[in-house]
Amino acid sequence: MIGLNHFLVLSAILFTIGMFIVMTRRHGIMMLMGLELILNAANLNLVAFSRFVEGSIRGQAFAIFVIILAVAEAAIALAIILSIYSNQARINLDELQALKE
Amino acid sequence: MYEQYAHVLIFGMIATVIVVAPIVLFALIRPVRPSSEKLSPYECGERPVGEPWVQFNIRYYVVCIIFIVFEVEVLFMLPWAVVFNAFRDGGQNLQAAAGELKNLQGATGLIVFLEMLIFLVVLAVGLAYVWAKGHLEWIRETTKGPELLD
Amino acid sequence: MFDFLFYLFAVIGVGAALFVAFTPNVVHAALALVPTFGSLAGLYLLLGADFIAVTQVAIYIGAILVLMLFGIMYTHNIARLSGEQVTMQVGAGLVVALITLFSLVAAVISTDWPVRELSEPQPTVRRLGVLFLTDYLLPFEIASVLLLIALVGAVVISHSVQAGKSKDPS
Repeated sequence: MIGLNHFLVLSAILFTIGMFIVMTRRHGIMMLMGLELILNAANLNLVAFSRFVEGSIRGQAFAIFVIILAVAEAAIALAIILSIYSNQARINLDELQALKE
Repeated sequence: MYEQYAHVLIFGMIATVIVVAPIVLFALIRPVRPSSEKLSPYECGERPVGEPWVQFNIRYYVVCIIFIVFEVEVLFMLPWAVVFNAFRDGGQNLQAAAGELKNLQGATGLIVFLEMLIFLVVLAVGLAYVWAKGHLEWIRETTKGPELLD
Repeated sequence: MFDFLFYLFAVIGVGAALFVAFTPNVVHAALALVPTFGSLAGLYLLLGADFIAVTQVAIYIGAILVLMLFGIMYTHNIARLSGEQVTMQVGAGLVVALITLFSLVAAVISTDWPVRELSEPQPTVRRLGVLFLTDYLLPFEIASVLLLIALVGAVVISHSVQAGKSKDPS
């Protein structure tokens, strides 16, 4: 029988993989993918709690706002990454040292 | 509720089988005799020229952003459209739909309509900004001024 | 059936996420996110959250991945950047990740969650609509302001990219 713990452990695994990607990759877009995985893990937690513990759908409403936030974050972060690439021809975030050109 | 989505699952399974089965089947029964002519990418009979990776124009990014913002807007409009009639009728059958809700008072059809209108107007401001700045025009002059005339 | 589907989606999702973590090719990583997000949508359906499942497919697969792939297409210049898609400190990262995973799993298992009696899941779109228009009205309107900021900000930043290019065509 699949219960709350299964979903929470799965979400922990996804969160850990996302964290691993953010820690080990230096490619800007790859780090963004890791962030999306982390946000997805948090969303899975929210939905699982709203199903198994709370019984209302407030957790789902919160998850939708998290998705909206992820959209805005991805749009702005990618614009910044593309701007850095266009100005300095770099995508490796460790090599960036100047705030402006 | 699960029964409705069983259709989606069956559809997905059949689609996966239709895609994967020919690939596996043909990989098993076909003879493998590769040559450089066969392995070259097919470009309508022409010989491929240059790198397959070209840098996209940054202008596509603006179009992509506008698409995403209005996709999110449509996704927010869907629940509003589903419950709008119930609000207009006075909210009797809303209490059953939203059992956990405490305060429904004051939420009439007009107010709900105005709430959505504010949402839409705020996003329309963004569209108007992008439009007024000329980002929607596909061919536009990026530099205006004397250096163009020289 | 429920158990089988859970394990199916979990294996697909975690496997594709591991592929994202270890593949050296950025394009393959972005495409491997499609099964990850898709299986998460399936898990949301198993949890009775149909609207979130549709949102997941439409926004994550339909929108955010398109953005990521565009970013890769824009920056993917093999001649100059092939050495920069490196994975570094894999050992240390693995140690930290495993410690985090074990502590999280230990916390999950050792906690006595107040699980309620499960009922048949109901369609959620109407209830979410009522919530957005009454209790969560302020976050709902602020979400539109957030999207406005994202739209204007991203357009302005990418416009500066274009202007920088036309001034300095190096």
